[in-house]
Amino acid sequence: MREKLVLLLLIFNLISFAQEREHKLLGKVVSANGEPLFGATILISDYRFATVANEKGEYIISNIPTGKYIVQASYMGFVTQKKEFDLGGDIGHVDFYLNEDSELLDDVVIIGKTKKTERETRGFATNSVEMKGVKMQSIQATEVLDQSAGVKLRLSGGMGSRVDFNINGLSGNAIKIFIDGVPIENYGSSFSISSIPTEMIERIEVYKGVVPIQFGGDALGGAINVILNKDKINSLNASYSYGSFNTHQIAINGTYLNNKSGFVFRGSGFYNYTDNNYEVWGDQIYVSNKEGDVNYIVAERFHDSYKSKGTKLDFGYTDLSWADELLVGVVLSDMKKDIQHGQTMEIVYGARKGEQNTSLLNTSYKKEDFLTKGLAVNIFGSYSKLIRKSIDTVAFVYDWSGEKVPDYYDISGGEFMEHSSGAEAGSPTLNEDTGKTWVLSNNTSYEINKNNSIQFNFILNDFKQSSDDPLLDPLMREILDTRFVSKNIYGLGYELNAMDKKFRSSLFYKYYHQKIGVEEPEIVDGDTDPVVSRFDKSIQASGYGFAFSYQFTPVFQLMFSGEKALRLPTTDELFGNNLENIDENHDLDPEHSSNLNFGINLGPYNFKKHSLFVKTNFFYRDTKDKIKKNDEVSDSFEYSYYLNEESFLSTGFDTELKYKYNQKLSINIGVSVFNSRFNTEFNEDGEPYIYYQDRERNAPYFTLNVNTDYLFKNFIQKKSETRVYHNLAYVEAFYRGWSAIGGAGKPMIPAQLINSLGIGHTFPNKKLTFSIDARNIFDEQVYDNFALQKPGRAFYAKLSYKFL
Amino acid sequence: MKNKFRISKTVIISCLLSGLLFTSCDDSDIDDDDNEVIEEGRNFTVAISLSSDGETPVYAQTTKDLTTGTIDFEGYGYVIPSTRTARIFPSDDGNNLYNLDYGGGRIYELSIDGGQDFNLLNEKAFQFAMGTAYARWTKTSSTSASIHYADTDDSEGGGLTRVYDEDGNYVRTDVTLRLMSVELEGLVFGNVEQFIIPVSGEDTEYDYISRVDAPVISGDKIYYGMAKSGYDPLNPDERVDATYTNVETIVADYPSLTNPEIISTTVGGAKGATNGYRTPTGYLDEQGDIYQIITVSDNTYDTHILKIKDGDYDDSFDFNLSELLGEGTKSRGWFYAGNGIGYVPYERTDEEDGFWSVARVDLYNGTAVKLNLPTNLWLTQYQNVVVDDDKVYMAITPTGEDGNIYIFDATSTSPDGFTLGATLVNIADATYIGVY
Repeated sequence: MREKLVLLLLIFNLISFAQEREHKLLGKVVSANGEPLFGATILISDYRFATVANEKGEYIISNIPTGKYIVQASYMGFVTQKKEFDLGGDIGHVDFYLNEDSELLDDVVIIGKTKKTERETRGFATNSVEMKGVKMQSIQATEVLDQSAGVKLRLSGGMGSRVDFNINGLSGNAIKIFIDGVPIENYGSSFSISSIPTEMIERIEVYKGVVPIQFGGDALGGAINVILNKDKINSLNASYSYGSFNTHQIAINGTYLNNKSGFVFRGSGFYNYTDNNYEVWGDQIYVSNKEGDVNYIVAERFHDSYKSKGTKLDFGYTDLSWADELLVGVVLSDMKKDIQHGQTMEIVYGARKGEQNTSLLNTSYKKEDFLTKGLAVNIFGSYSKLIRKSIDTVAFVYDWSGEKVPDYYDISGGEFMEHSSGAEAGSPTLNEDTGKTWVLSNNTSYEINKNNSIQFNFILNDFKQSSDDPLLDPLMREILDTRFVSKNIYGLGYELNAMDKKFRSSLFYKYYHQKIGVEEPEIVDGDTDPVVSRFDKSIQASGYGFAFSYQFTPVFQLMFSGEKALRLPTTDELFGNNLENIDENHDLDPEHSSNLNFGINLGPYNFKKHSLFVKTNFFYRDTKDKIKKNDEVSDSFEYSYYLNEESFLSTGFDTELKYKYNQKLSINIGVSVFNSRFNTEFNEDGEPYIYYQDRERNAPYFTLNVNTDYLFKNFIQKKSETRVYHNLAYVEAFYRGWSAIGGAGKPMIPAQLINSLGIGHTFPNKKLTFSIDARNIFDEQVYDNFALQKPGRAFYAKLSYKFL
Repeated sequence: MKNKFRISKTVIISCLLSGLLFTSCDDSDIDDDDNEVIEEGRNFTVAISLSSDGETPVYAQTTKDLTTGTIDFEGYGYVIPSTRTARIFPSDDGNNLYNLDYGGGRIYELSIDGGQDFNLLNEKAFQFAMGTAYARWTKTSSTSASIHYADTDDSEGGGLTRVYDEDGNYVRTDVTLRLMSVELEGLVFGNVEQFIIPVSGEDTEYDYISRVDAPVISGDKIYYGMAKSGYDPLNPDERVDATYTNVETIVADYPSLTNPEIISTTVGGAKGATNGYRTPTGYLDEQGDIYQIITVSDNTYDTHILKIKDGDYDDSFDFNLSELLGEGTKSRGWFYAGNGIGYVPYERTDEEDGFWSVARVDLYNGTAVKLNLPTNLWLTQYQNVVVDDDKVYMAITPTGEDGNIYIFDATSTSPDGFTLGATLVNIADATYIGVY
C-alpha cells in the first residue's frame, strides 16, 4: 500500500512538472488538534496534481491552471477530507484539519510521528493515554488512566471519592498532576481528573520519574498532565450517561472557528451526579443495639451523594501575524459531596459534607518564530480563587442501617444518641478555606538549527490561604492563620538530535525557589486588636536530569532517562497546625529522589494482518529524606511534627503489549511490578528497623490489566460500527502494615480481579453512538485501601451525539 | 474482611491442634511430669506497640515460660484488631485478652490460645452507647472495666464550654464526661451516664479537668483519676499546662455511675495529676484501701503515693517517693504486687537525658529502693506487668538494645532483687508495652 502510494506520488509529481502554468496552491494539513501531519498526501481533481506535506504540515502545488477543482488531503489513520476551491488569482490557499479515524485508532503503522508517539520516543519514560477510544464508554478518566502500565490509582470509594496516584511505587505528594501544564492545585477538586469527563480530554500524559522542564512542579516521582481538547475544526458534541446508583453524567463540547478572521471559541461543560448508594459488607458493616451486640449486615450507602458541575470557555484568535494563538479563558466549577464514613467504614456519618468551588481566569499567548526564526514562546497566566468548605454540625449518631441511633441510655437528653463532641468527625465546624493563586509561566525555545535547540522556562506560583469558621469561639476566629506560599521554578534545557534523528537527547536543569510564610495573629494583654506575628522561610534547591533515545532499527529503540528530583515541604509540614496539634519544624529539608528509567520499544512488527508492539520500562527510584509525621507525648498532650527520616528504594518494571489484528481486534496487556522497599536501616537512636528492606506497607506492588476490543462493521445496519470491549484488572493482595512484623491476623487489602464488559454502536450516519457498560460484572468486593470498599456490579448506558 | 476468614481458619487449626494435644496426652506416660507443669502454668502474653504515622498497631504473643527463651516479633505475633491503636488488658488468670479498638468503636474478648493464636470470643460495639469511638478504657476489678470519655472539643456544640459571667469575665470551663461500666466476661454493658465534671474550686484561675482515666472500684464507689489543662483566653489555641495546687479524684457511686463529686488532698504538699498515661495509677489492697500515685510536672514537685479510704483521701498516710529515693521522680502509673509492695516505673527528672528506672516500694513500711536496671530506659508507654505469686514479670528494653523479661522478687528488698528471663528482641520505633 505504502509503496504504491509513493509511486503514484512520484508519477504525479512528474506530471505536474511537465505542465507549464503560473498559478499555485498552498496550505497546510494538520490534525484536528493542530499537529502537523508530515507526509500527508494532497491530491487535486482526479489525481492530476499531487504532493506531500512537509514536516510542518505545509504543502505547495505549483503550475496549476485557473479553474474549479476538488482538492483532497489524506493521511494514514485520519479521515480523508475533500474541499472545493476556485483558483482565480495567482495563489490559492486551502488548509485541512483532519479527524482521526476511530477505526484506526492507536494505529502504530503510521508514517512519521504524531505528537503522541514523538513524546514517547524522545527518551522520557512516558505513557500517553488517548481518550478518543473510550469516549463512547461510560468510563471515568481515572479508570482509563488506571489501565495504563506503571500507574495505579487508588480510590477511597465511588465516583468523586479521594484518589491517590502511584507511579512506579511513588505516591502521594511525590506525584504532581497538571491540567494543560498548570498545577492542579490551581483548579480545585471540582475541576479535577475525577470530575472532568473523558469527552473534554484529548489525552493524558504520564511522566514516570523524570519530568521535562516545562512542568514547573516539584514532582519527585512523576507527573500526570491532562491535555484538554483543542479542536481546530468546528465541532459540537454532547453526551449523556445514566446508570447504577442513580448516576448521571452530561458532557457538552463545542468549537467555533472563523477561518477568515482567525477567531476561535471553545466551550465545554459537564455535570455529574451520583447517589453512590452501592452496597457494602464485611466485618466493619454492622448495626448494634442497646446491649452493643454486633449484627453484620449488607448495607446500602446512604450518605455519599456527589455532584459536580463545571464549564470551561476559551476565546481568542489564532493564526494572526503576531500570534499563533492568543486566548482568554474562564473555568467555573463547583462540587458538593456527602461524607459517608471516617477513616474506615466502621465509623458511619449521616450528615457531614464537603463543598468546593473554583473560579479561574486565564490567558495564553503562543508564537513560533517570535521576533526571529526558530524562537518560540508560550506564555500563560492565571488567577484562581478556590473555596473549600467542611460542614459538620449535626451531632446525631448514625449506623449502617442509615438511621439515627436511639439514645438507649437516655444521656443525650433527646430521642437519639448524640456524638459527645457535638459533630460527627470531631468539633462542629463550618470551616471555610479560601485560596487565591496567581500563576505566570513561560516556555521559550530556540531552534539553533535542525538538530540543536535550547529551552528556558519558568513558572511562578503565588498562593495565599485564609480560613474562617463561624462556629469557633470569636477569639479563635480572630487568630486563624493566613498562609502564603510562593513557588518559583526555573528550567533550562538543551536538546540535541543526531544521526538523522535516530539519536535524541535532552539535558535539563531545574531551580526551585519556595517562599513560605504564616501570619499568626496573637492577642496580647492590654491590646484590643490582635498583634500579627509573621514567620517566613525560604528554600532554594536544584535538580537536573537527562533523557536519551536511540532508534536502532524502525522496530527497535532504547531509551534511558534520569533525574535528581525533589519535593519541597508544605506549609503544614514546616509550620505545623495548632488545631491538629502539629508542631513546627523549620529545619525540614526537601525530599530527594534519584530516578532512573531504562526503556525498550519493540515493534511494530507487522505480519500479514497482525501487528505487535511491546514497550517495557525498567525503573530505579532511590528516595531519601522522606517527610514523615512523628508522634510525641508531653505531660498532658499528644502532638506530632514532621521530620526528614525515611528512605525507600523502589525498583521494578512495567510493560505494555499491544496486539492488533486486521484493524478489528485489539488487545492491550499492561503489567506493572513496583518493588518499593523500606531503605532506612537504623532509626535516630541507632536501633535497627526490623522492616528494613521490607516491602512498603499499604502499597500495591503488582498489577495486571488486559483490555480487549473488537470492531464489527455493518453489524445489524450497513455502514454502522459496533464495538465490543472487555477489561480485566488484577491487583495482588498487600498488607496494610509491615510484612516483617507479626505472623497472624495481619490486616490486608485482598487481591482483586475485576471484569468489565461493554458494547457500543455507532449508527450509519456516524453521528449517534449508543453504548452499554457493565462494570465489575461478577460483583467482586473491591478495595484499593484498607476497609474502604468500592462499588460492586454496575450498569451504565450512554448516548453521544455529534452535531458537527 | 480478611479477619473473618482468618478466624475461622485459626479456629479450625486450633481445634485440630487441641485434638492432637488431647490424643497425645492420652498416649503420654507419667514421665512427662515436668512438661505438664509448664503446660498448666499461667499464660504470659507479651505485647509490643509499633509507632507509625498515627496508627500504632499492637502485636502480641503468648508463652508459658518467660524465664528463658527469646521473644521476637519478626514474622511472628498476632496483630490485635484496631483502627488507630489497641488498648488491651488480660483477665486475672491470663487466659483472656480484652481489647478496645480506639478509633473503631468496638471492644473484643479474645481467648489466649498459645503462641500467636488468639481467638475471638465476643465483640461489642460501644460507640453507639458512648457517642464516640475514641473512648479510653481501664480494667477496674477482676470482673469489670470502665469505658470513659471526657470531651474537650471547644467548638459551639462540643463537650467543652467556657463559662462567662454577666460582664463577660471568664468564670470556668465545663467538661462533659461520659462513663460506661462493662462486665468483662461476655462484655456485658452496665450503666451509661453523662455529667459535667464537678469543680472543686481549688484551681488557679484558668485550670480545669480535661482528661479522665485510670479508674478503680472500692465497695460502692468508683474513683477516676484526672489531669488538668490550662486556658489562656487571650490565646485560646495555645497549649497551656495547668498549675496543680492539689491532688483531685472524681468519685461516683458504683455501679450507678451517678452522684459525682471531687475529693482532694494536699497531704505532704502533694500536687499533681492522677490519670496516668495508659498505666494504672490506683490499686485496691487486701484491706480494701486504694493506693494512688500522682504524676508531677517536673523535679520541683515530689511524687507521692496517696491513700483513699471510705470515699476520701486518708491524710494520715503519705508516701513521698522522691524523698525516699533521694532524686527527682516523675511517674505515669505503677504496679501493685500485693501486701503493700509495688513497682513504680519513673523518669529520673534530675538527670538531663530523661531516662527511666523502676523502684520497689513498700507502702506498709514506708520504704523505696531503686532497682539496678539498665540506665537507658524509656517507659512512658509501659502499661502492664503480671504478678504471679511473689514474682512480678516486666518487659525491660533499653533504647537501641535487646532487653529482657525482668522477674522481680517481691519479697526481696535488695536493688538486685530480680532475675533475668526471656530475651526481648528490640525493634526500632517500637515499644514493649507490657506483659499480660
